[in-house]
Amino acid sequence: MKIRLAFFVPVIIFLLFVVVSFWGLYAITTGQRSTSDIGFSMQGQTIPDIALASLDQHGQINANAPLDLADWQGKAYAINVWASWCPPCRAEAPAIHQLSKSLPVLGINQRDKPQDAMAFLDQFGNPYQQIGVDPDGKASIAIGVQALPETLIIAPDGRVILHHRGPVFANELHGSIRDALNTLGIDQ
Amino acid sequence: MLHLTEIGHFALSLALALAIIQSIMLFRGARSGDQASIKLGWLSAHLTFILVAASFVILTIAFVQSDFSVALVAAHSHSLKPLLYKISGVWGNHEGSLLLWVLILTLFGALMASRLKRLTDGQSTMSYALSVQGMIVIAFIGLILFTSNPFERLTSLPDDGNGLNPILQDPGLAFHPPMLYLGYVGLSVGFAFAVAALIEGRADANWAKLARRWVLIAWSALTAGIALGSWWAYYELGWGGWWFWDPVENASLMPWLVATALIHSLNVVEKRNLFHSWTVLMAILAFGLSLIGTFIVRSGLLTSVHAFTNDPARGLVILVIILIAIGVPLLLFGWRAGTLARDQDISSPALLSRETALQANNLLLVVTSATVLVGTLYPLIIEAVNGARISVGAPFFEASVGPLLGLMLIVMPVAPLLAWRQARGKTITPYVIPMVFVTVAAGAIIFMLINDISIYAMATLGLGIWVMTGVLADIVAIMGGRNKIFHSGFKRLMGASLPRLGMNVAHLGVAVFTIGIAGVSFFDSETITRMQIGDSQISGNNTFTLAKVEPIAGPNYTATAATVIMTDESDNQTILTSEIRRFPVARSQTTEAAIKSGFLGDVYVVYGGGTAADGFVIRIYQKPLITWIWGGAGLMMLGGLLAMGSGGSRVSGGSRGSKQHSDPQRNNEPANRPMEG
Amino acid sequence: MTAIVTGFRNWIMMIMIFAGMMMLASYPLYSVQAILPEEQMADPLDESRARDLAAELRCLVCQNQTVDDSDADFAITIRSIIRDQISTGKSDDDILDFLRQRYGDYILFNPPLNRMTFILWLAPIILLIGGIMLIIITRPKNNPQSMKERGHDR
Repeated sequence: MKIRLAFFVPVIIFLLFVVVSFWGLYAITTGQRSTSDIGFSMQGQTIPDIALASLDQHGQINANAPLDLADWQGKAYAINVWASWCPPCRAEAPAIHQLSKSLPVLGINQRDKPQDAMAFLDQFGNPYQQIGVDPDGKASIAIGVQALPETLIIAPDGRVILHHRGPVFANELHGSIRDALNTLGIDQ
Repeated sequence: MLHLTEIGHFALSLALALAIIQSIMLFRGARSGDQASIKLGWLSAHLTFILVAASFVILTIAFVQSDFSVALVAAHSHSLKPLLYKISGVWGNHEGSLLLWVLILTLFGALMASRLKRLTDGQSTMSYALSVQGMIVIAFIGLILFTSNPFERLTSLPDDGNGLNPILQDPGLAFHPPMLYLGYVGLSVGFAFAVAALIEGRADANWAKLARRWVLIAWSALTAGIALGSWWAYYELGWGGWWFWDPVENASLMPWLVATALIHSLNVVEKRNLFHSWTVLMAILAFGLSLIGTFIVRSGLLTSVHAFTNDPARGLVILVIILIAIGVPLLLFGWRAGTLARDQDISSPALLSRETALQANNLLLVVTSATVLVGTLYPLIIEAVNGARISVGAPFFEASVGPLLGLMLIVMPVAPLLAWRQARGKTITPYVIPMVFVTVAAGAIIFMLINDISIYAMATLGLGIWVMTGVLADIVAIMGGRNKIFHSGFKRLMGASLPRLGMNVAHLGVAVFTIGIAGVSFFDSETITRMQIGDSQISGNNTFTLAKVEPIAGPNYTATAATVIMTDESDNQTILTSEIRRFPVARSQTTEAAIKSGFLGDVYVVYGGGTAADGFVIRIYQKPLITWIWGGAGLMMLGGLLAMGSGGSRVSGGSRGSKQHSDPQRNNEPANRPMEG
Repeated sequence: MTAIVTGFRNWIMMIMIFAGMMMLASYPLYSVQAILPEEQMADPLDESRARDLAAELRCLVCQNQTVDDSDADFAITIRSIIRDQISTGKSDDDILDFLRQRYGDYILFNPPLNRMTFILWLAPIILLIGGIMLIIITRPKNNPQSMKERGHDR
């Protein structure tokens, strides 16, 4: 009875598969990966230059005084993408207010109606220095935003220091956001 | 009611105990030949099936009676569901589908046991196989009882159930899992035989004869299951796609490809006493891929629209089962594969021979399956290596699977014409030359008739035609060849062996399938337009007029139905109604397409919403030859079933230099001369 | 044997006839409307470019659908961006790069050919050659020594 190594190739390949699968399951259970996470963000990249028509405090859309990111070059600021119809945006409103005390927050109101947006701001308060409207979602895509809500923190040189997908809560305020602000030399 | 569910649970536990007895007794009986052990094992196998069946019936009763104290029923059923879907809801979820899996597993076990009783030869092989089968039953009942119990109770009784997903309430979808599982689980029998072969150190022609029909049944069921699933997606999802290279679809394709190779390999073992180790390996891999498919659907490892559940903990348990169930036999294979070769035929087939052609065929099928596996798992591998996320989709699979299967299709029609051991050019050229001629001529005609035909379309059509000529050639060969075909050729055809006829029917199915793919992939059209009532749109040779858009009501939905009248060139009219249905309880909506099916293809019309002011969106798709895809698959399945008939093998145990008489018209072939030396 | 096979076969055939149509279970619900008429570009060549590009991109908020197939807001907007960029004369590569910079390679359904995916694209050929090699290596050798080992004493 001859034992040849070549016949063990199938079991070796099989074990490789098992190892990879074990890793995959392990990573899911420890939260290192989730199948909905695309594993890519704008962090580390330069924020693209976009300009949007702005929403003023009377709920009017003003194309002549736009929200232009070029105006914010050389300053540290945050961008928060939100909409009135988005439940997690309501949930994160207090945290965004808290954030606005540390640095200016620009709001991008995505796929929304001005009256609904104003109603939202009346109810939850307005933390935004400026608000831009993105009725078709193109501006959001232009800055690499995929869903709602998302928050970015941008350094004076235009680099994205933090790109957080999903609502911001105390966890982030005391965690990733605090770290980002420290990098910028800003006290919370 | 309170007690019935617990009885169901208890029955499963009993079944587990009996499966343990089954495995142990049959293993002992196989080793020692002790008839008492074998009888006890036989009895256990039957009892296990009865108990699992009882358990399944009890679960079904719980669904039908809408017993919401059972957690599963509350989660997946609803009192308003029509009866049919209450029943199919039993297996429309993770736990219930596992129970269905075990039901079919034990059913096959009982059938194997009945077969065992009638056997005079090969009792030990069958006993080992049935013992291994029992071990799989143990693993899966264990999985159910410890991680996925369908009989769990809720502490508080809800008012009604949660399971009114309208997409699941479809006759096609309702019956899909049983068919597919017949295939997946059926492959476990082939696996069991393979392990038996490793234990006994013997995978000869007698072994192949024992295993053959089980594998054919499983393969046929799997073919039907996959094809019908594809058909369901096509008519239900509303835009006419029929294959998406989704991980779960791939998970069904992989075992199918390997099972196809397995069938051909079994044939070689039976007829020529070669390929013992390869066949055993493929039988293990086919079922292994079935299990991996189960794993992918339920573990959350990969994103898929099909995933039953995304529970990594359960996935882990399944993975451990897979590790043992496949890892141990593969280790055993490494150790014992050499022994299997001991009673193989010692001749080496020539390069131009049927053996080589079949080996090439099997190689290509297995490599295709492996490629699909690599592509499906690649995002995971890359993420494990450096955390990046990439996506592998249709472009990769089409670019890789296409050429591989294309190569196989080139070899396929020639193989039945090649003799065993050594094919002579003289014998095959009378067939191959006309085949080539017909294919090239047909290709030239197509090229001239269709403007701007792409090279891929030509290649695909050409391959389909080539395979068809091969089928015709073999039919001519059966009937006696060019010389004798008119002398009782028809009689020969009627008396031809069923396996050979089955092969030709199945191969014809492949040809039809390929041509269908060519039609719908390269010659389809899509017209999207906004229409007012009374407007007309031309697509293909037909005129489509929007007749009316009106609200209608169904049993548990309200809908808007758009009626389009299609007028063809001969002024025949067909009424096509497409709906958007809204389900208030489930708060969701579906689109129902209107499909006119015909031999030459489908016309597929979809209503896309809209208003009288803006106009209504109507999408019109022409899908040439798409019916050939399902038709081809149906022929394949039919061929597989036909091949289960007898009349194939003349070999009985380790033969050297035996003559093959199944093809009377090959009398002049040198292969039939006894071997020298 | 024929008896049980006939019975078996009849049973299977009954199931298959009864079975009708089938599908893997648990589709999450998505109604597919995808491309709307007004999205389409005037020039059919441009439109066909747009469709092809959309079919190469993954809808990030859906599971396993292309941007062309999905009717999620995200997909609709991406399709709009594609058409905008085609109108301003951007090339296919420009458009794909624009999206890759913002969403990574994951947004491509077609894995790009780079160091990471090189192996993937080579996989079929590697597997094929590997298979052939395995076949050749494991051929039973028909010299007297190994035949004796296998028990073919002559």
